[in-house]
Amino acid sequence: MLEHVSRSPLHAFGLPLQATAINDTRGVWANELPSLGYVSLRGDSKDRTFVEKVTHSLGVALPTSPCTYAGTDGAKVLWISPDEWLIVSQRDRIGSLAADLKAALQGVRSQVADNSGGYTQVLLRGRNALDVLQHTTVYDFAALEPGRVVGTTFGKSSVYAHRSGEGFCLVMRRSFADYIWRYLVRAAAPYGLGIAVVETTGHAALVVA
Amino acid sequence: MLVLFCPHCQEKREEEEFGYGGEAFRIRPASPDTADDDTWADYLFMRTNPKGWNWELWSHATGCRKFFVVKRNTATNSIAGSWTLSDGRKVYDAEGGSQ
Amino acid sequence: MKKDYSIWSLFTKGLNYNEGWDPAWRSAELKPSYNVVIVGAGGHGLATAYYLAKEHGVRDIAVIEKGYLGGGNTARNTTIVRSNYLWDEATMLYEHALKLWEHLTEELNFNVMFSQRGVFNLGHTLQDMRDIERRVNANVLNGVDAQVLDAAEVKRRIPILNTSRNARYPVLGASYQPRAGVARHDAVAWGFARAASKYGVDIVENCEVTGMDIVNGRLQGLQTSRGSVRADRVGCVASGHSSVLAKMAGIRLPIESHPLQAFVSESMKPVLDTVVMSNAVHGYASQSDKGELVIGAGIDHYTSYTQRGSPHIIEHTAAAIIELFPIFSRVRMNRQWGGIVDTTPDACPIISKTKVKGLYFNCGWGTGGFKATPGSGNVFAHTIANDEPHPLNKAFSLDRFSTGHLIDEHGAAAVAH
Ligand SMILES: Cc1cc2nc3c(=O)[nH]c(=O)nc-3n(C[C@H](O)[C@H](O)[C@H](O)COP(=O)(O)OP(=O)(O)OC[C@H]3O[C@@H](n4cnc5c(N)ncnc54)[C@H](O)[C@@H]3O)c2cc1C
Ligand SMILES: [Zn+2]
Repeated sequence: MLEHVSRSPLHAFGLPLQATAINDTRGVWANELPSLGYVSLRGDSKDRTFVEKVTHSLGVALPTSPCTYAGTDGAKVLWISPDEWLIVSQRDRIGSLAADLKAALQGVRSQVADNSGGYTQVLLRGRNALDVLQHTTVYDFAALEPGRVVGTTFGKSSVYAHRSGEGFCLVMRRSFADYIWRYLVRAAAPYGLGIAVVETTGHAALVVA
Repeated sequence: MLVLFCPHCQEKREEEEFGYGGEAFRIRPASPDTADDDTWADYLFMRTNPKGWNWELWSHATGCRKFFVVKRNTATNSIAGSWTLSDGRKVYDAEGGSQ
Repeated sequence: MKKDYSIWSLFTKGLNYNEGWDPAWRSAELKPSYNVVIVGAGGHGLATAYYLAKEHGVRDIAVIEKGYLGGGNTARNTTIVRSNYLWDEATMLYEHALKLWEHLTEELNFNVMFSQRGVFNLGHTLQDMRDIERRVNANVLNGVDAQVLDAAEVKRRIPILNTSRNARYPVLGASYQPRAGVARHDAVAWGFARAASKYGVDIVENCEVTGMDIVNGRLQGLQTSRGSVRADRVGCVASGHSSVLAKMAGIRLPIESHPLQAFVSESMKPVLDTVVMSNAVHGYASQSDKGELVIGAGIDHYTSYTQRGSPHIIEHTAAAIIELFPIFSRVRMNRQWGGIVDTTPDACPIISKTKVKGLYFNCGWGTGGFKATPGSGNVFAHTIANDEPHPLNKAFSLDRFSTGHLIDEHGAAAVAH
């Protein structure tokens, strides 16, 4: 029998073992929020039936204004484009969440795809978190309001980013995670980088700041 | 550095988030199978490449990943506006096409 | 008539504090009519006029230029000269040019400072190396000097190159063309201008072509900012502005005009005695005789006629160069600029008759036409004089886009050249 082993995209960096509680000695604190569940949802935000059914199924209003996100304690829904959303939830809940959505959207032009293997996210905290983003991206993150999510260029790759508490949450594709993490580590070096303790259940990522 | 407004994200973003898609509203011959070689070559390879106002496609590559149209002056880089493909088409047609 | 430059003239003029030199070329007023008018006084246009006069006996020629002589891409390029392209047609054309380069200084009696210091094209992946071997083999079959070098040999010849296995894109080897090199961009334009002027060619600067007179599909003459001029034949050699001229004749070209940028550093002692290019990291560098590092980028992705590009392209290229040469990380850059390059779908030029009788185009050299300057002028002069392409530019006619006989040189032309 093959045993199912799920490894986070940043597994190789051994981050959990280096984690310490956030303190004043470092300018930047970061860590992966591993093993969350991700569902890609496609549909037309102008289609009222679609929006209603999704809203009903998720228990949270589907964000249809550009660059916004919505969430409950259980799931966060990121607007990606007028016909695409990324839903983030606990990995063990994602299967039923996707199944419920699919059932609810029966007959409605839409697509629900479990993409949990395709993404991960990194939490960025500390007094210099913003400086690091300014070194690595082209978006003016100082002006980013809570409740907004933006897709932008990170180095030669891309992330979806939003504020999370006093820091930021960066959602990235699995295949670029290694590159982005190394880039972050380099950019944070002048400020001192600490690996922050995060709840491995990934709950922090789901709290809507 | 160009700063473009994405009509989908409803925000101005820096050029590095975008990919250039070339001239907009080029018309594909209705039946490629019967189009003669010159007609097909004109569609496939020839460009207006205007010095002045240009209707062009951009994709918001690292943002919403959608294509949209921009009217930009290639002699000055000034930008008249950005639209979704369908809205842009209306403005373009109202102006009388590429002129 | 101007005398040839010589050691003796240098010496005697030197005794007079270098006063009394004749202008290198005669600045002319536009006459009402010419046998042949060349539009664009860049290197290619001036070379065309020179070979028309010299090899085809055409005497009544004008070269008209909207700005100043040699102020277009000729003045803005990074002067790499080589001929190691992939396909027979392209290789033959560029090799024809390279052979002319080898005697150009004597031919023009003007020092074009052609320096055959060799050009390296680095390979960073196994696929790069396979492509390099394929290209080198093709070159050798065409009689072009080309070699495949392994990483150790590359390191031996360019000690400051980072060939560490830990580099982000490790260098696995390179193709090398020993006869390739660089030349002095301005000198090429000035040398051809002077030599053409000697044959009586009128060079008219600050004269922009604004329209074409075409009757029954035959060109009669041109409208310019200095009045109209009649001409039996007109050759357009306007690089980034080719589509603008084509539009005057109701022709569409398969060309997009893009910014292409380059920059140079402060002057330093000699550290780099060859030319290094890398398509993978997107940059190339050489060191000029003045000691500046001459660094070039890839094109900006959008079309533009502004002769300037976006700063992130420069940033990306600077990063690439530091990747290759960590030793340059503290070198200060002096200035940066852009040109407008005329790119084609197959990264090959168009040297062609058109559907308008008497109208010819030589364009589409994109990021890499400086190296072709003498060869391009030579075959274009033949095309205009005979109303038939030279065997070397037959394959570069406009009709290849309808027949499908494209000559895809993206691999060999990449970064920019
Ligand atoms: C940054 C940069 C780096 C480059 N590096 C290299 C390199 O390393 N190696 C290489 O081989 N090539 C290189 N190139 C490409 C090379 O510069 C060109 O292909 C080549 O110089 C073109 O020469 P030309 O004489 O055709 O064009 P140009 O020198 O541009 O001459 C065309 C002339 O036409 C004139 N003109 C345009 N419209 C009109 C009009 N309506 N009326 C009158 N005159 C008009 C223009 O003012 C201009 O002077 C580079 C280009 C750039 C921009
Ligand atoms: Zn967008």
